[in-house]
Parts: sequence; structure tokens; C-alpha cells
Amino acid sequence: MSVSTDLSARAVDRARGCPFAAAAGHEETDLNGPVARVRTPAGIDAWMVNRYDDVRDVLSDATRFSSGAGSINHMLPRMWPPQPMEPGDFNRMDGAEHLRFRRAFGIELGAAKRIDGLRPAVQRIVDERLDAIAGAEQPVDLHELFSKPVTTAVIADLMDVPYEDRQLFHDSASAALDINIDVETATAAFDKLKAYVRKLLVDRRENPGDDALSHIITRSEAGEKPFTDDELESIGFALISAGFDVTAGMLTFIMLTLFEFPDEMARLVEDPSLAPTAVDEFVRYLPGNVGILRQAIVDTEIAGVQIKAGDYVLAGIGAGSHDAEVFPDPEKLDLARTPNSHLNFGRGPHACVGQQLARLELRVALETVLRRVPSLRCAVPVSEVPLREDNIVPGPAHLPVVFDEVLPAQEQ
Amino acid sequence: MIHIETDTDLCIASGVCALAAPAVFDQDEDTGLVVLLDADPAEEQAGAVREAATMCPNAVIRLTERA
Repeated sequence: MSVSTDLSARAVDRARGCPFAAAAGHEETDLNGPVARVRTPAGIDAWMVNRYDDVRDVLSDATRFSSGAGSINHMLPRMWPPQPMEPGDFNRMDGAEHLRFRRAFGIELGAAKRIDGLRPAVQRIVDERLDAIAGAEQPVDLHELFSKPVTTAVIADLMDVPYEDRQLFHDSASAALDINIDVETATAAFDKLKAYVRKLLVDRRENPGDDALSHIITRSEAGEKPFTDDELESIGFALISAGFDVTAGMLTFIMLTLFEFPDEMARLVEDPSLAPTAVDEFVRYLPGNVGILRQAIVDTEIAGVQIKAGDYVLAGIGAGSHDAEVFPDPEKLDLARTPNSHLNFGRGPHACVGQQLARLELRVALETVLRRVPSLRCAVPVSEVPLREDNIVPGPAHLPVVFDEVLPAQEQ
Repeated sequence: MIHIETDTDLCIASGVCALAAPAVFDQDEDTGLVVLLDADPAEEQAGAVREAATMCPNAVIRLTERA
């Protein structure tokens, strides 16, 4: 079910390069040490925090570390100097102001019962996409023809918007995470999606349905401080564009990694009940993040290093999730790893709001692909699979695969 | 025995607890905030409860061990 490969050519190693350099005047800094002084691609200097406990503290304590600078702006040159916060930009809020938004999302995307309820829809979408590639000309690009359609269709379903409108969502999501795109092109993509969301808001106010945005509007209007139209626009924008792209990238990266670790793949085929721990282990193991930006708001100390109010701090969630003090044999991919309280969905009040939905999608996709396409294999040597270079989230740009047949879906 | 306390003021409705230990934690239907079903759960729940407390993104769940 796989091709053998030179270990050094594994995508997981090719993608693991550190995007940061030692900051000027700190050439001796140890980039893997507890606290490193780094220069980021956006040209700012920051304290990079790498140990599990310290990373968790930085992300959990909003009285010392503010989200005001924007969580990924250290990667994006076009975001500097910092612009005033737009209404509803909850990603940059702290404390009670942020909680008002976070809870509105939480009930829609985090409630265990709601996630359970979404499972049949996710299964149907995964099965439909596998049916569609069954007859496609091979090799098939699994990223474009499976991962992206699956995660996009799930969001379209959650929001009850037509899947046919997906190009608009894709353009905006790509622009948000593109390191090199210019401000004008990015703004044009965002403005198109904002106009789309505005129309959606009018429609959902008049004809509330059983979708995430309608629920949020209805609940908000029954509450003490209803969201303004600007705030709802931000919420709708985030719901549509923030979820599917990163999840699609992770799904494709997982499939490529299975080709590269045939023993782990065989273990999962043998025992599909490992899928839930496997998903969290892939999220922990794969290089899918570049740290989360915070700004100290008081003078403080991390691992003996003095941090001044105003200093930028990077929570190294990837490094923390490989901390040998917490994860035995951290560089080993172990699909049965338990416990696995990794940090790659973030921690604290800004922890990934879509993490339960992402887990569900990845798990169902993984189980179903292995069951229905047991002959799946990479169409090229895995060392030749191209990686994304312009996106802040590393992973395969494409994944050409071949297979003998797609087996029928299980009856629901 | 484990005794559980929750600080709802911190809760962000992530759903992590209800997923890890559904017999002990639920979520309010309207707000998604944590609802503690059993503050002194049976011993066989201890593993799931500890996992819920560790995985809770915002340290809402506080555990005390009782003899």
C-alpha cells in the first residue's frame, strides 16, 4: 500500500524547517532552547518559547500576554505596521470582550452533541467524494479532488450555503494564509467574501434556518448585547473561510505520511479503532504551525528570561508538542499514543474553536479512505511530492495517487 | 476519590470535557457552557475526568483528590 523511500526525503522532514532566524544582537541564541530570541519573516523580533509548560502558560494567561497583535501576523510582512482593530476582529481580543464571541462559536462548533449530529453528513460527504474520484482519470490529485472538496462541503453544509460558491471561499482562505501576496490582492479577495456574507446575513435574518449563522443570530438577538452587523460579518467570514483550508491541508499531509510510514499504515488498517488517537497523533507530530503570536502587557519572566511589557512572545506549540518531558519518544509517530495532550490546537481562551469538527472530519475521512480504497498508493516517489511554499501552514501542495478500485460505501 | 469543581466564568464552550467524559460533563443547550453532572464521580470515571481536566483549553476544571 505504499512505496519505500529514503527516510531523509520524507515530507515531514522536508517541511520541518524553522522559519525563524536568530535576532540581531542575539546570534548565539539557541533556536531550540527554552526561550530563543528570533527574527520572524514579518521582520519583528520576538521571544520564542519552546517548552510545554511555558507554551501553555503564555497561551492561557491573558493577564500577562495579549492577543492584540494577531496570532499569525509575525509571519505576514503585509500586516506591519499593525493596523487598528476592525469591529468584530475577535482573534485580536482579550478577556470578556473576546469571550462574548468565543462562546457564540463554541456552542455551534464545540458542543459534543452538535458534533455527533454532524457525523452522518460528514460520512455522506466523504463517501460522495470517493464515488466521484472512482471514475476520474488517474493519477488523481487527492488534495484538489478529495481533501479540499470534503472540508469545503462540510463547511457549506454547516452554513447551508451552495457548494458551487466555493471558489470565493477558497480565494479568501488562501489569501489569509499566503505569506507573499500583496495587500491589494488579499483585500480584494476578502472584500468579495465580506459582500457575500453581508447578503447572507440579510437572508438569514429574514429566513432563519437550521444553520450555524442563523443559530448565532437568533441566540445573539435573545441575549443582552446582540452582535452588530459588522460583528456578525466577522463571525460569518470566519466560519466560512477559517476552517476548511487548514483541515484540508492536514488531511492531505496525513495521507502522504501514511505512504511514508507503511508500518503505521498497516497498523491502522489492521485496527481501525485507532483512528481517534491516530488523528491527534498526526496533529501533534506533523509540522503544521509556526507559533502563535502574543504581546506581553506587563514585565514578566519565562524560564528565567526577563520579558518586558510590549515585547512580542511566540508560543511554540509545535516545539511544546515535542517536549520530551511530556511526550515519551516525541520524534516517534505512534498512532496509539495515549495520553496525548498536545498543544497544536492551541490552548487558553483562543484555542481552536473548530478542533472537534476537524477531529471528526479527519477521523471519518481516514477510516473511510482506508476501508474503501485499500489499493491507494502514491503515484510518484514520495520525495517528489511538492510542498506548499507560499502558505504559512506547511504541507503537500498536491498529492497524486493511483488505485485499482473504490469499494462501495457502507450502508448508513 | 476525585472531587470536581468547575469555574463557568472561564468556560469557552469548547466541548472537550463532554467529549472526554460524557457521564460527568454535559453542556448547556443554549450556551454550550459546562454543566457538571457529577461532582464526585465513581472511580472508574477517574481516567476520563483527568483527561478532560488536562485537555480543557481554559483550565475550567479543578480536581482535588480525596482519600
